[in-house]
Amino acid sequence: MNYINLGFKDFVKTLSNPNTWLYLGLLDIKLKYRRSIIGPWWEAISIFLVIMTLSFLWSKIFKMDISIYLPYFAISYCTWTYLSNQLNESCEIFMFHQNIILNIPLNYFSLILRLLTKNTIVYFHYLFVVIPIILFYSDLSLIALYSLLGFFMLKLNIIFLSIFISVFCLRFHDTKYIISNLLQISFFLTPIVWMPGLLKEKSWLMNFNPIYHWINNIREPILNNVLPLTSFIVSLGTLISIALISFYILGRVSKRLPFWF
Amino acid sequence: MIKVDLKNVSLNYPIIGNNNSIRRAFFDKFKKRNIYYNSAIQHVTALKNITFNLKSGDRLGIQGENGAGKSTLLRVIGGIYHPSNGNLIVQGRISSLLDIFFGVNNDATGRENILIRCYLLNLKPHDTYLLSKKVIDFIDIGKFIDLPIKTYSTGMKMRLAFGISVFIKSDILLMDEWLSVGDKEFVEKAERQLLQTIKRTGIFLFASHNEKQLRKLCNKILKLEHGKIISFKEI
Repeated sequence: MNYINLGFKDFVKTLSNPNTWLYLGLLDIKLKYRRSIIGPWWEAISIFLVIMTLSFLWSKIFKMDISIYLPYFAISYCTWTYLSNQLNESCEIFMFHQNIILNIPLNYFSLILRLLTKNTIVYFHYLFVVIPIILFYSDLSLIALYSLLGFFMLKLNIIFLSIFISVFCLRFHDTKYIISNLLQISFFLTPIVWMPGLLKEKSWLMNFNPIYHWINNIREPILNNVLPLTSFIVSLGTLISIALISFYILGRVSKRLPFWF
Repeated sequence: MIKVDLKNVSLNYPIIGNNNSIRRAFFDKFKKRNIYYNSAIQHVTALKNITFNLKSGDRLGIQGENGAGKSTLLRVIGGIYHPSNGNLIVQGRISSLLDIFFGVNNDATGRENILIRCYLLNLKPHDTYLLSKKVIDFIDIGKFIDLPIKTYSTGMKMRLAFGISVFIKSDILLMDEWLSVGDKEFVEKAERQLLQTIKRTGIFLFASHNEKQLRKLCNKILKLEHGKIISFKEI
């Protein structure tokens, strides 16, 4: 209980001092693209190319109407990219900011939120590709607003998952290879390229994949005007459990963590 | 009240070696009765039973050979390493000059680097503004302040890093030896500024093996050897 409390305090302190991550996240992105002319718009261009070419290919393979497949793939793929970038980069985040950790007492969540800020800004650039596609192909209703909540839910889930991953990757360097492998597999296991309906009577299997629910929270309200209640409950469940676990782990190791470099 | 109190502070530093994989940690769980249990983690005793206290106005020099535990002791007081045993009470706002280059980004401009440091230390917007003005005046590098610092010479980088570090207001200042780089003129200017900063701060801790410099800056000297106190005297 004490450990959970420690981890929770770290999180609350980080949230109440947005200076320590918001500006620095913005600066990270600015510096990354400083010498390119169109900067982070490259991200939008690359996602546009992937979505367009692969949608045409896979809608043929799956024998689906492009007007259904394209918006589906667009939302799924860019959300996936956001998630996997964040989780992959959080593997080395503590190593990367070693000199900060060894010089000032610091809230570890601020490093995670700094990374998340950067990735969220990239995600917003994707939206300039995805939103026109959605507007063109689907009939939006007010229910689509729910996907904002879905996005927030995804964000919270990956914040806590990132801290968990980053602590383990610092202590055990093997973990980062495990994570990148797991992410690669889950890309194919999660309905991103294919639709869950293709599993036919086995589609209940999807319920065991939390990533499916996180993405579904954003996807369903926009594409089908449905409130994905199951996905909401599952995401809330994963959120609470991942949060508690990561608070516990962070609280437990925070005093020892500077020795691990 | 500003104070630093250490009572029997010890620090065991775990060495995380190459054989510290998940596999090892996992199998060790099943080998609890084995005498090699936990052999994967070796500890080095970096500090042993350190006891002293400082109050406002004290300027402590920490003297010792390489590896005596000088920097570790500063890190313990700075709140980065937590002592394994003993009591540590630190009251007052700490500023550390352990590595003056921390947080510095080579692609960012001088001005941005000042901001990075301020945000990392979570300064208020007004303090940030005042600080960047003071630093820019002090380092005096003209138009270079708006260029990425990878274009700077070593001396200029040093000035910038020193400038950012020394102007931050604090009650307790921790400093590791560093003043050896930079041209002569700058070192003199830096020393003058440093003396002023030391006068403002309540407690000053300085680690070095240069006795001459220690005597110049400090009024108490602590000698460390292999993590233990050999002598603690006032001068």
